[in-house]
Amino acid sequence: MAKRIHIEQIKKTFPGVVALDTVDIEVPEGEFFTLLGPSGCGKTTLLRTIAGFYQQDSGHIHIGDTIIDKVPAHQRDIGMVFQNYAVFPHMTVAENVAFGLKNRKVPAADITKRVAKALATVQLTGYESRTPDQLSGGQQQRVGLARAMVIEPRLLLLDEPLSNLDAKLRIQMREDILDIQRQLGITAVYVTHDQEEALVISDRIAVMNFGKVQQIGTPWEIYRDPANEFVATFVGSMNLFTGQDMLSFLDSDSRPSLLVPENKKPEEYRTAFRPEDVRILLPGQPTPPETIAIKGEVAKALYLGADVIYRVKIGEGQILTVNEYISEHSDFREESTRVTVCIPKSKLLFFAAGDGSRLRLGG
Amino acid sequence: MLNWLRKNGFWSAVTLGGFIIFIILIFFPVFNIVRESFYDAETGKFGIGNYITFFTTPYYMRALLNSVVVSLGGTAGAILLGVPLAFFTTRYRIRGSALLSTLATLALLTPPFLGAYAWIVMLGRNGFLRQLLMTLGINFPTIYGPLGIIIVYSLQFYPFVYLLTSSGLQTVDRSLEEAAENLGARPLRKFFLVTVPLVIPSITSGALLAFMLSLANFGTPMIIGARYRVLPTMAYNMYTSEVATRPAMASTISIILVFAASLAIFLQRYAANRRKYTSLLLNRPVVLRLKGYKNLAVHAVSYFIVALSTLPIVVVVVFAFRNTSGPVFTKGFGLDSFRRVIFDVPQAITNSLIYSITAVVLIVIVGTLLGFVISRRRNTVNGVLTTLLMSPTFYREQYWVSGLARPSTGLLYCMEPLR
Repeated sequence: MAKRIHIEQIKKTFPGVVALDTVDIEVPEGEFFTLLGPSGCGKTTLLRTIAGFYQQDSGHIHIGDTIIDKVPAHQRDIGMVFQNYAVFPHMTVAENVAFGLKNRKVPAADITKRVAKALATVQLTGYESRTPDQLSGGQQQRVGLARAMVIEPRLLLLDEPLSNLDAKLRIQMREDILDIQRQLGITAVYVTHDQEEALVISDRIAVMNFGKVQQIGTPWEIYRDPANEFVATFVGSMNLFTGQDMLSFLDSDSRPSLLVPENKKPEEYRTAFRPEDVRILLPGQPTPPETIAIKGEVAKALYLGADVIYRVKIGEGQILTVNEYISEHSDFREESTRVTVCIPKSKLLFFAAGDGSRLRLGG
Repeated sequence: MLNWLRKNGFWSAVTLGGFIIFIILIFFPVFNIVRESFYDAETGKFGIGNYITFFTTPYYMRALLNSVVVSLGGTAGAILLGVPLAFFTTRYRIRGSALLSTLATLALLTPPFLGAYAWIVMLGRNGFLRQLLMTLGINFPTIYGPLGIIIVYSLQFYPFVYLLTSSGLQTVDRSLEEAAENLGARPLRKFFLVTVPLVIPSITSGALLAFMLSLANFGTPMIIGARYRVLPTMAYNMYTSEVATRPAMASTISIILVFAASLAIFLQRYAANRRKYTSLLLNRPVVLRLKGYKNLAVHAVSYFIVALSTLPIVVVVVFAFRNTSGPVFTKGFGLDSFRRVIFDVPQAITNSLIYSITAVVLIVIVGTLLGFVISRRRNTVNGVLTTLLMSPTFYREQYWVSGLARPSTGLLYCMEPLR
């Protein structure tokens, strides 16, 4: 039942906007694939095009070996979970889940069995005769999930299913969704603007912006090896400085030690590094090899329990963010403490100042 | 007076005024109709004699049945015209939909009897449409009788169903219909299993209005009812008949109408209250652009419905310009009728203007003051006042019937001692 899907060169324009600009994605059978991006990036448009609510201007959608471009939405056999649950308010929980089965003329006895099984999967056994207004948001979304998967669709689409839930429930539900997807072995395409959610839940992620796919990769690749400045800054937090600024932060004698992209003047690139890659040196500690050191002053210390975020003032009023895990070796630095931070050279990323494309060292 | 004002403040005076308005304009007239309905016309005895007579006399029961039949018929017709029009204009791209919606609302603004009159001109015994069909060899039935009343009601009151249903349809979350589609429901199944149940509250409130207005309508059955008696015309005849006026029975009939309407309101509230759907995040429904024969059919149906309901207005307008000789229309067009209205009975126009302008001024002043008091100074007294002042919406139309049937039971009743 689960199928590989192939989005082939899809283009879609709305009056005045290019919503999808030649999107090309392949999702193998059983994969949990996420479309991640800010609002208006085209991720929801793509999902709705797959569901059949929009017709693409050009390109093809393959499910398994069939092209479904001309198949109307009600015949696509694709399950969908909606952002606002879209649970039918005039039906009970059981009727909601049975709706898709009834449309498929499944015999009544089978319907009862399959509804019971689906509700058990989402832990809503006993809620059969409740109406949606008696359910919490999380429970309603479970009904939405049960309703979508009970029809055993070829593909499961999830359109920001957790964005209306509160933070704690969101964390619990995303794991439940992942468990259910693994259990059923269903191919899933998930849309979210929450980068943390995307990293946690996905096998692979497509980061989108302005209707274009910026990068496709595993969460690890997306986070550690971003293809461009947009991906780098959208996923996780990032320190980002112009080439000139970066050079100005360094002592004149350590400047040559900063590796820079070949044939690039400082104004032609930007340097980026993750806050967790920055270390604050203990007083008197020498600069470790293969790192660059910058002097500064703690402007703010934000204590989060397991870790601390420091905003360190460097250069002429610029701020560098450090995210330090608390261990027995680390001190808590008060505000106004003068510190030296060091960044491993291997963790520095470079992006072209013009288009934000990634510049690799040494070619 | 000034002392009292200084002590209690201006807004207390407004509240007091609200109660006085309620007592004079609402309580007294209604109370008098109710009281009168319990008096025996001949013996003057107080009791439920009139009601017993009503429910045991086939003559009255027949009129009640007739009233219910034409009202239900009119309501059904209003639903049949209003719901499709609402669905087509909210879900599909219809050229000139703004015009359609304006014309549909226009039917609401025309006086109730105007429609009936226009239909007589078209399909009366000598109606021009009927004569035209005669020459083609078709003996088309006249508009007189229950079926005619139902047609006129349907065309007169469908805008309520249309307006309420289309606003209901616009607030149905798009995702719900998409979910139905996604789960494999064909368009018709989606419409009847998801869309319609979700707008049932809107449809039924529209239908309720159509039903209540049909039930209380007096002009239409009076003009085209012929021998078909309904309660409002019966009450009217009872009061105005030269032979035997029976004001008490007229009042009884009015009260029974109020009761029937209240029952309808209760049923609708019950039906709609169990189904109150609010959406967390509203995705507006998409307006589809249809192609080919479907597009043609949707346009044809929408325009046909609106054209049919606009027809009486067009006829009235055209006939207003036709030349007449006495009560008979003659050939040619002109402004003669207008001249006659303006110069022969100028009083009618000035009266209409004076009354409506006065009413508007009073409504604005009194309404603003009371509205302010009720919404800004929430307390028990003002709460009671709201309920009391809103109560006429329950029996508005019946009240109007009674007022027509028996002006003295209306405001004039209270004025009588003053004269």
